Amino acid sequence: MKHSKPTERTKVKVVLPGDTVSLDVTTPGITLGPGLIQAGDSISCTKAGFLVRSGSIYWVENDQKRYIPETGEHVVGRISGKGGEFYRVDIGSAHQAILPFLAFENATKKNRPNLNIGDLIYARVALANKDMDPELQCLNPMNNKADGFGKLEGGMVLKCSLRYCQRLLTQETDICKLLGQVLQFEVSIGMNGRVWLSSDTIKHISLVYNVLKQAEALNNSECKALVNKLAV
Amino acid sequence: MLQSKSFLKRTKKGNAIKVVQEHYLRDDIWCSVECCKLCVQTGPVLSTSAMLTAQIPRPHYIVPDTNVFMNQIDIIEHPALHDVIIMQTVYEEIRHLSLPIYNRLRALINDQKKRFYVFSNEHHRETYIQRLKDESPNDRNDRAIRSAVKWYSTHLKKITNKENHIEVVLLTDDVGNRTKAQEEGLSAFSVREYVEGMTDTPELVDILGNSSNVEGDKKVPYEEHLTSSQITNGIKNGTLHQGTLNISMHNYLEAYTQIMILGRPCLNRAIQGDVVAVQLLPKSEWLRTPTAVVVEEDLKEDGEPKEQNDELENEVIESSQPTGKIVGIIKRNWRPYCGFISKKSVKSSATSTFSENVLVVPMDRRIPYIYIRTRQAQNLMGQRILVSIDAWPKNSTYPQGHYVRALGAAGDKSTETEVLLLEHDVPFQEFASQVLNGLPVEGEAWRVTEEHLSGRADLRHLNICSIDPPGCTDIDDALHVRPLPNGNYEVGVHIADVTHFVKPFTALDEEAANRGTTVYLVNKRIDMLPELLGSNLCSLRCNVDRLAFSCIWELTSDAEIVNVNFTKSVISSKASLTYEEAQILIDDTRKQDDLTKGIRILNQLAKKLHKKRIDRGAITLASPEVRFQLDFDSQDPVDVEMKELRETNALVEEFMLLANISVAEKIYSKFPASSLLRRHPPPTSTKLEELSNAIKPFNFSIEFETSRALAESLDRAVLPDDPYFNKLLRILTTRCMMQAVYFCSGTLQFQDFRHYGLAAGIYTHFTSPIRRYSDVIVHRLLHAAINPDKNYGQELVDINKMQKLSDVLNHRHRMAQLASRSSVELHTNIFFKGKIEHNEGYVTRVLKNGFIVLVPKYLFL
Amino acid sequence: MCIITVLLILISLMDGRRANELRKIKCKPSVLSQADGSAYIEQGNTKCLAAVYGPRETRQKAQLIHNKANINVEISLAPFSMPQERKKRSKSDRRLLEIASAVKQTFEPIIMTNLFARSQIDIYLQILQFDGGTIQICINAATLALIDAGIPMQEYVCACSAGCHENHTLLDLNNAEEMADTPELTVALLPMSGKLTLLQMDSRLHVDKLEPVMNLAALGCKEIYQTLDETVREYVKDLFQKSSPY
Repeated sequence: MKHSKPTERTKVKVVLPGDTVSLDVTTPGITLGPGLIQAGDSISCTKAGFLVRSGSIYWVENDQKRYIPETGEHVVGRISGKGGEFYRVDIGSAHQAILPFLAFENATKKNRPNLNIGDLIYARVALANKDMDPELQCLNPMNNKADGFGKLEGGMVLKCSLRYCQRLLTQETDICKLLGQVLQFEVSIGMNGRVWLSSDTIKHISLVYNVLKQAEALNNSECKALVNKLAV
Repeated sequence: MLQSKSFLKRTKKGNAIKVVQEHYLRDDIWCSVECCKLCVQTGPVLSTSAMLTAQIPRPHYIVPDTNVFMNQIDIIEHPALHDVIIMQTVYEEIRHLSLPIYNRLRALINDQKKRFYVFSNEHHRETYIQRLKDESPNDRNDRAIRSAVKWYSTHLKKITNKENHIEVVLLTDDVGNRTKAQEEGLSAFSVREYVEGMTDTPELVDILGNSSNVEGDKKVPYEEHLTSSQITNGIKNGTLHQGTLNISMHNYLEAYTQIMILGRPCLNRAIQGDVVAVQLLPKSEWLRTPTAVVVEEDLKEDGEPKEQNDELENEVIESSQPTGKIVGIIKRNWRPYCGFISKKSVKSSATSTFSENVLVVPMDRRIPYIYIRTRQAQNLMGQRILVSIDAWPKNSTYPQGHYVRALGAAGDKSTETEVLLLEHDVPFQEFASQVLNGLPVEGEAWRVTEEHLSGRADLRHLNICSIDPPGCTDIDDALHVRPLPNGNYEVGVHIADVTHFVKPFTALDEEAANRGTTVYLVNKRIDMLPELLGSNLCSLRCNVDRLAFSCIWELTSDAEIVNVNFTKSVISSKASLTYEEAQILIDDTRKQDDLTKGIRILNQLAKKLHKKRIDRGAITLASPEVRFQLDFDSQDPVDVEMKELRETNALVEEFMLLANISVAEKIYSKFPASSLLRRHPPPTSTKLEELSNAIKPFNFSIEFETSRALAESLDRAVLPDDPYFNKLLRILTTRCMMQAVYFCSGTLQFQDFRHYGLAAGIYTHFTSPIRRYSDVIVHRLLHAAINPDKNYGQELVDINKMQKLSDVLNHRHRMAQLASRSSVELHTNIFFKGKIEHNEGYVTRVLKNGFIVLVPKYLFL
Repeated sequence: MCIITVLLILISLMDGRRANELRKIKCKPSVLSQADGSAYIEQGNTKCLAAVYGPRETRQKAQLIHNKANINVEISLAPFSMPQERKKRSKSDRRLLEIASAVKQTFEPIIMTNLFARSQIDIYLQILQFDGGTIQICINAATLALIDAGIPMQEYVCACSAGCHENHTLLDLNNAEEMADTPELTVALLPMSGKLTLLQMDSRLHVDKLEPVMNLAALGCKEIYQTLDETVREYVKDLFQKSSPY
């Protein structure tokens, strides 16, 4: 996964739109992430949140709910329509994403995937451009294998803030690991503020759903306490 | 600066409207005591040399409650009282209860000598209190005042040491409040107790409001007034009628709103000018007394009024005029009244110093007698005194009041002049120092300099002259004319630029707005502007540079306007002429200088203008004025003569009318909603019909559909054998006319703007800013209208304020007229004192027990 | 009915504020869970709730702008918002539409709309209680909600009104003060760069008075800015503290 090996992150400070950040723009390799813009020699913020630094990459982290697609990110989407050669997928962004029939493992003109409106899929953003609708694919471009992408059967979706998804992915919040020690479940984390989860029984599904939802506002020790309580 | 964060909501209910307001409590409100080190303050008001009286020999500040202000404002205004703390609670209550008293209070607060401080106790964190359950608003306010007094007394203890300790004293006439205050350890006194303690100024006791119940005679028991809610309901559902009470000048028991009200019981304690609620009587009781003069009310020997109801009832005859009775008073309109003590009512001996009840006879015949309680009855006999009415309980025939001050001996000219000024509500005090501070610092030495020239046309080279009555020092207007190459004439009217000196929102401006107009009495002039401006800096004297506002026309030789131009200017008048001098110049054919030629051209043009105006239908009305020859030393009138009217009077008048009309058009085009204009409504038919009927025997009639018809019918009514007849008719017609009034253009339709008398579609006053405030406003409007870049304030576009202002000006104007008429009357009386003359006169009105005669020579009724 | 009497000590009789003091401000971001961003703000007795949705797909094709996001502002006045009268106002009330367009104009240059081509940002404003200063509270509430939604802005906006009554300049007029025929000027500022994005007045004001009134309003904006800034920083810090993994 993309963020499997995070470099050390440091929270610099709270910033608000309009704040200027004293960074040297001429530093080689400096990268500005979302929430920062360069205006001449200075860098100013466009969002409220924490300015976070990871190596020479800077960005503003906040509790945004609206997803803005970025190439390479993994998302959980819902099929919302069907065109001649593609599905329309709702991934919570400003525009509906396009999922071509051919963007599946082993798909050919004849061999179309069989998805219906309302089905959930786990996909990768293949193309994101502000002037075009985002495009998804259900295969890993490195090896053209499904690699876990595709239709998600059963289970349910949890909507949460974008930052929580990141935390889950980077295991900054290790609730999934902790919970996994207690019961078995499956989870697909999208970067778009949607987490699909499934387990063997409905009871377990709703349990996992509630734990994950609650953990959003908890730190790791509290998560541990919560899971311990469940385990008993 | 600390901003208090405590935060409360206040809900007011009334008329089913809920108002939710924030109410901030703060801890940065200062006590305003001179020596206070605890409060952060600017400009402390209260002095450490506070009140000292014989009763309270320590310095102290006074805190009066609302009723003290309402009933004893005359005491509060007395110079002996100073260093007073007015609680905001009290201040607001007064504002709701009575506007006149509120205004007097404002004046006191602004008077630095009195040292009155308004303490915002409602917004002070430590003095604010909330209304308790089951507590009436009045009790709550009393408690709020006490709480603030308590705060002050502890605060003063903190900031002063033993030697210079200052106290606070609560003044209240409410016994309950007083005991409660004393229980809380505060010193509280009734006004009487307090004033009696002020041994240095014993006259204050007389000024005390007369609230004690005099044992009234039960012969004229008045009906109870309705409560205000009953009145409001009654007016809403049509059973009651609201109106301002207007008592007949000839009979004080006859009064009108729109409904006639007869007799004392029906008048039910209402006084001239009160806004009253009237209930119609059943039709069978609709009555009318034959018009009779009831001027003097007879008093029986013991000072008690004679029973008059019986006579009255015998004399009434049935009529169709709606008659009603007063059942409630919506708004009292009491003011201080001038009067004298009725001799018959004084019973004490000359040496007595006990206080007794005496009757005061007001000068205004429409006002009932007033009971006052005084110790100085003997001293005050034969003097004119000023009294205020306090109350009119239902078991008392006459209202009860209190003595305010003595004006001087009756019959003395200066006393009588003051009386008539007071009676006509003319502000005649000297100008306050704040007002005089607004004058140019250079004083008499003020000169037109280069900087004044910017934005002004330099017209100093023109042959400008002014024409005024002899002895005139406030010259507002000057004229010039010069022939143009195309055969037309350039005619300029130059008006003193008062607005250069009188800027809006200054004390000077406010004072002038309040005075409204200069009042001319026979022997005195009450100026609207301080003398320095009126008679010097603004006055367009000859051979000095003066600032002016000029109105310049191009006129054809037939006096048709080709164009008109307005500009601020600098002029230098070449001659200040009297009407007579100007007339001589016109007539003296030997004189051929430019100035004289100019005056002749003006005279020709004026005649053409006059003719045009008459053709349009303007009426020549007669309101001849008398002029007294005053004895130089005593200022007593020695002879009476008519004011002479010369051609030159008409000359000036014509151009002034022209300027006024041109200006009115200009300002109306720029400010259609907020121009200050003057209109003259057409006369009401009833009065003129009466007059028309009266002259029927002479085969004349009066038509008044249009002013033109009226003018023509007046022209026809000439009796060859009686040359005065036509004049008399014109005088009487003038009396039937409506008053011309100022108004704000946004309040009426354009067709109602007409000036009936001048037959002008639109008219205003522009030409006498030195003596009329309306002209000052018009100057400002015109300046804003001709100068698109000119900044002007909200006050010029606010319709409501403009209309309010015009109401004030109308009132002042009317009062000034009445005052000068009274002054003439006064001098006429002095003139006829001990004189017997035989003269011819005309009977103009016949009453039941008298008739009114007009004597042409003296215009005396 | 009500006249503002400014006494010598310059404390308004209406509510005990000085002429250059703001009413009390309370604000709270992120009050609604459904919206992408939301905020609640009180300025004195005027209370406003703002919700921001977006960027999302345009509802009507006609509103689609091919190179930037369309900002859509809707204002509604709760029927119970006025204590004097209970009246339902339609959304197409002319006055409300006017305020909405003023709010829209204020934010158009501030929000980086070019990042979200062909999409729409909805700002819904609900006045819960009305006591004057509608435009300013709408702008302030919208600012907070936009920040909460994480919509990129060059800088955020603060607005404040000021007026002039009988030659006294007054800050932050409440309803009664507005009713007393006071010309009211609303100024919206970018507090950090000091740029002006809105200047609105419906009545006439003397030119000489414009500058002092504007300066007063600008001072008010700065003060409001401080309150908002504090609130947001506190909120962000709080949020990250609460959900910090450590």
